[in-house]
Amino acid sequence: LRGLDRRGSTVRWSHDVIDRDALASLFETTGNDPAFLAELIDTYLADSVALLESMRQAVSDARADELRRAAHSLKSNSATFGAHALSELCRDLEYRAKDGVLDGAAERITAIEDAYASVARGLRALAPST
Amino acid sequence: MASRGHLLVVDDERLNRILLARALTLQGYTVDTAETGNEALALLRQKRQPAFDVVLLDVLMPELDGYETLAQIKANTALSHIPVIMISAVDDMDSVVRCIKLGATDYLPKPFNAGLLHARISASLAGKRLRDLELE
Repeated sequence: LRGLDRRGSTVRWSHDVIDRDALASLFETTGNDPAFLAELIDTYLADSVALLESMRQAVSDARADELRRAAHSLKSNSATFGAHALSELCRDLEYRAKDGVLDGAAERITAIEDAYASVARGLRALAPST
Repeated sequence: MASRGHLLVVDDERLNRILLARALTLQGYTVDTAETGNEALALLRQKRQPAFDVVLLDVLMPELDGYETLAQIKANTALSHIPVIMISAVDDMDSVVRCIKLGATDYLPKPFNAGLLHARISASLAGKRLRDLELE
């Protein structure tokens, strides 16, 4: 993995949009296997695109429950990779949707898409196979 | 190495299924996964396969959510003894209380801490094995 410098148990990550400690913990939890982490990142990126599309569709269909579920999933998945700022944006949207609030959702999704783009760039820089 | 126990991970997000299966397998458990509550209930009701020792159950899922899946497990006398640990990014206390009232053994947050998860599963397994011994 590019950007990963392993010396003994020390792991260094090169992108600030991602919490390095969280990602290092994920790496350790999954067996310190760069190939597996690269696959996991691929899965996250592919699923995130689908979830962002689901969010847009849910707003278009005025389906607050679907919006809540998609925002919840992207919140959880992003937190797993230490993308805390992105996760917080999703959390805000999730709780508004839980209360049935769709006003301002489109603008919030735009902010989530922007944050996601930064996270995706950071993760792709770490994983050459993506 | 003998398996520490047979776990069923229930989560609609494939990322979580992959991640939990990997982490728990590395910890020495045998892991099966289900994508929906209905699939989980079907696996739990199968008599041919070895029984599950612990269920790890997500809360927010389409169709049959974690609450309803949990309620159906606990309402089934053949399954109600299996410890169910909720593992969810739903972080409000109402959800925690609801699950404990429905019979969940524990409620852990996502992203999960591998050490805490292992400790909670170990405690659930110890309780279940004590109960199984008492019934023998």
